[in-house]
Amino acid sequence: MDKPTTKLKVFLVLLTLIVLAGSFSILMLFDQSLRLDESLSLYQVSRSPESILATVAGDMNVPLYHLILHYWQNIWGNGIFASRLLSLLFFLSSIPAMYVLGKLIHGRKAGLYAATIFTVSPAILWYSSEIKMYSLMVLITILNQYFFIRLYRSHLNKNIPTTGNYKTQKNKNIFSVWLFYLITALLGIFTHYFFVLIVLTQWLFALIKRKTFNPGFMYSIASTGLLLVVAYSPWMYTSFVKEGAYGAFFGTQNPTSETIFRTLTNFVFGFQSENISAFVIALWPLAALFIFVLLLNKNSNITHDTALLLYLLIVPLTIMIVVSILWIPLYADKYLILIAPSVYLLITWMFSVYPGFFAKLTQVLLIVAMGVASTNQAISSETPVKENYREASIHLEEYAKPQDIIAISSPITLYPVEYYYSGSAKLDTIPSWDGLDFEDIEEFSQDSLEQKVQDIESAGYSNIWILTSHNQEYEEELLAYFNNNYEKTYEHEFSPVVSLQKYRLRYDEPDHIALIEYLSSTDSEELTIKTESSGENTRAHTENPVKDFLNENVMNKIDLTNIRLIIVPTVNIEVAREILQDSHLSK
Amino acid sequence: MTETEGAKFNFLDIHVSKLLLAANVIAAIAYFILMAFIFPRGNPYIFGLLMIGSVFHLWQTITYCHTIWSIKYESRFDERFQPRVDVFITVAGEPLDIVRATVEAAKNMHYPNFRIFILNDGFVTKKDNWRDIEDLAKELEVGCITRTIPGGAKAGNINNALVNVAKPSPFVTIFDADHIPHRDFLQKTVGYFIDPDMAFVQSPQFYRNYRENRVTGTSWEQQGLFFGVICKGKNRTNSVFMCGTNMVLRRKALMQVGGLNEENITEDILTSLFIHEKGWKSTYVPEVLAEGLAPEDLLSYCKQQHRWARGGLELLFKYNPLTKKGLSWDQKMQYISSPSYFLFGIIVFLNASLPIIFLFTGEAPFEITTMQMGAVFIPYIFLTAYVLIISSNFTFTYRAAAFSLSSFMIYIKALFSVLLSLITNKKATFEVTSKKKVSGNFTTLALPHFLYIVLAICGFWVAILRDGLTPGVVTNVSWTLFNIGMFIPFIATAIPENAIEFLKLKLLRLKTKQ
Repeated sequence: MDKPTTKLKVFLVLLTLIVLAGSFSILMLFDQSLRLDESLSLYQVSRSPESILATVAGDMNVPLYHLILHYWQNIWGNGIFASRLLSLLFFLSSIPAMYVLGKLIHGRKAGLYAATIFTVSPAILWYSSEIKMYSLMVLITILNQYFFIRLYRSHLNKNIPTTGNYKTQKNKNIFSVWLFYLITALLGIFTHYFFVLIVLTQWLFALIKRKTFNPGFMYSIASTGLLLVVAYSPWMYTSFVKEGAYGAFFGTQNPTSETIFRTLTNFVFGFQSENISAFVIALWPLAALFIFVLLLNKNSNITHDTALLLYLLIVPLTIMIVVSILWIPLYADKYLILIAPSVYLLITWMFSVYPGFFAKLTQVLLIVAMGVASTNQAISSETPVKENYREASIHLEEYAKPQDIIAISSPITLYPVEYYYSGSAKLDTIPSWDGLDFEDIEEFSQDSLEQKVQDIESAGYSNIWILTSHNQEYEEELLAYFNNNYEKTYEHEFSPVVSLQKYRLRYDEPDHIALIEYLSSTDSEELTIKTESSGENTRAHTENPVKDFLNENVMNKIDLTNIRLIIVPTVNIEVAREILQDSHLSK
Repeated sequence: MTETEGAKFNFLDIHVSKLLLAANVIAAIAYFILMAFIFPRGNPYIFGLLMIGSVFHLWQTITYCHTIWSIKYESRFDERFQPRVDVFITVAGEPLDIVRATVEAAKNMHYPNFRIFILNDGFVTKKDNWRDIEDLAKELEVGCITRTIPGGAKAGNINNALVNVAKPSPFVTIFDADHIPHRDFLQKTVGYFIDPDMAFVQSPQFYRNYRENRVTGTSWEQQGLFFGVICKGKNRTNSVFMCGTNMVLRRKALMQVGGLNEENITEDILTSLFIHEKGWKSTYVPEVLAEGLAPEDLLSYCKQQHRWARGGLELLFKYNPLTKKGLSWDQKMQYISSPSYFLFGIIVFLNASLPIIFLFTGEAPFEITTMQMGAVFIPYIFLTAYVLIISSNFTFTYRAAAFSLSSFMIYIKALFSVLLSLITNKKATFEVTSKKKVSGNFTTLALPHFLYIVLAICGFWVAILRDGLTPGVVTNVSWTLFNIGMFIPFIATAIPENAIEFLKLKLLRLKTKQ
């Protein structure tokens, strides 16, 4: 049992970590632009709870986080800050949880070290400010591991070597420990599908080590499995059978040696620029030396706890790699964040095995390196996970004119752009999409691209702004088409995955515009007119588009006496004058 | 269980999953195929050097996994079989107190029918204490056979006793001067000779001074792997060989091959080969029944390693086991795999040279990214390391691996000596491992390692100036650091203690000033 002074010291250290982490997140990360994933979350939780369930089910997600965020927004508003605050709270709660788990496995000091590297971890910090379920998933993973370890420790039938305060826990409140294990497992599988990997790994561990446990443990595991299946079945039925959500997870990929290395280095050094990442990854023989020294450094067996941590690192990673290669792409850094706590605990174990001075030196160096990496990740414009839709939208608002069109590619990134953009140019997507159902996104092909561009050109637009991000493997083809056929007049990368290009579609672009004002009692009517006036099919098939457009859309449908201002692109100021005179409107 | 008790037990308490071994072999083959046939090749000469190493590692992995595939074999044993045994304690100038302890322990063995002889080689090896040994034998009332005609080193000493002892017993036990037998040594070994084909029984060589210092500890950890899982595995294929001490032999089998071989400085393994060739059996008793002394200083360690390496490599090149008709294929493989370990030196040298070559020339064996290389190398090396750890029951440590790697120059020297002796037909001289710590400055033993560090530093600057800080340069610098990291325990042992104390003192003063 710890002394009160020790408890106070631990409390103060944890409090310091929480304050530092909270401050860092709010000051350095909360001001980042909304990212695609976050905009999808905001879009999904803006509906009613019933609608959220349906949307999430069809979107290869599970609903716990979305429902929590929905009710959270009901209290604190649906702004980006408030929404990110929820993720931050989950992260800050994870810090003491990490300490408790680390203490259980390796003792108090190691628990504090585990909590410290968890706190300064760039990857964890990044997800602490993201409007997604990842920080919740990490919290639940830590708690679930804690109760799983306590559960099997209560059922050891041999004198298995362990560390930490093992003896004091034996045979105490086994049922409540199991109940908490079950609850955290349930919460986990309703937070993210991939939490199943944690549960499966724990079961694999139990199976392989079954001889060291009494039968009660296997019964506990079996009953947990049964209850999880029962609880999960209705959702799985809804999601896969009713909603037909068989699609691949968004942002996943087939793993390569590079992506696997990046995943592992990301846990320690976060998301860094290409140069820094390449440098860090190239140091892998040194990492191999550290682990080699670790493996061979101590004449002691690997404890059950450490073995479990190794399982939790290797098994989910292997499953994701194998499934991605053999079946469907599932591999994504963000999903693997659930193995991050195991990585930090293994690092902590590694240092506990090293000799004193070397351990202390490397411990301090690691904290410093991770802190520097976190800061660089937050401030560097080259951080690959940054998606600066905000700056891109501000730029478009300022420079895209009504006679221009903005094409978003991939189409799904329309969400974050729409969140920020309120300019006068029309927003469209390549390939075409109505912005509602992902299933309705048109498949990309060279033919569909040519058709789409032809339609845009026929509509009389002067320039096309192409905002590319989240490459769906056709970005290169798309840009090559424009580069080969049109003059590029602007190009800028707002963040590593968000780029903006401007191409000139026509050279007879108007010097002037005719101004017709619609006398409206409400803004919405005025906006309607404006939107229509930017022209769609009506102008595409006429020789004299402006005149026809006005005839068809304005004069025949709207009481001319109410027209005050309509912004119409024209090819010629004379035509505009003619229209105005014909229409008996004053300029 | 105390730490020492644990040390005597742990290295033998092995549980290796066959699945793990199979996975290791598959990984090694897959790694080799990728390297040899799949990856696009770079410089053909460097590729060739790397492939030499790869073939060796593949061979080592396969033979190691084959050896330890099953370790449960037990030979027939009958504790009631208690024939007369002659106990030979070989002495060649070892300190009197060490010999006394061994003789007294031998006298206390619980066995009804045995005689003890000190085989005193002090006279022929010109040791000062040879008369004291004779006096000791008288005092302790044991036999003493002092050789007057030199030749054959330790093997010659034993052969001399075999023919000169009066009323020879059918079985002979051999202990080195420092190996103190347990009381039950004979009780737990002689019973195996109930099998009339059993030629010799070997037990582990435990070092009771393993906690003395880094050298003794490392020596034991290296021994532990061999006397643990490897010898247990060799039991299955009837290819356990004699290890010079802590063994019992059937005189008839030994005499059939003309006694212990005097041509080779590791007479034990070569004699075992000849005995097995005649169709005799051998067995290994996986229990510590005698405790000896490890070399206590780096010089003694290096000399011992050199002797073993030279003997092993001589067996390989002079007495090619493949040509021995009386051996089974399993035995041939075992007699090649164990001595071929000593080719490790040249392989370490080649592997350590590759990053240095890259840094100086920019030439690499493959045209692949560093990550592709890592993706295949890391799983393979860690699986191999894990198998090593598991199969040694966590007794094989970093420093043991580090000393093995760092001994590369010793093994290379032994290899060249053997190759030279093939031409000149010159015999190697036997030198007994010192039983007392030899003090002195052994920094020269680490000269190759210091040279490697200097080359790495120079290569780093050459590469930086040529390529900049590219991933290729960073990875190869990391490789040199990996190798240096593996040399550090050896270098630290080679540096005189007073130099280390001096540095510590300086640091302390610095701290005090602050």
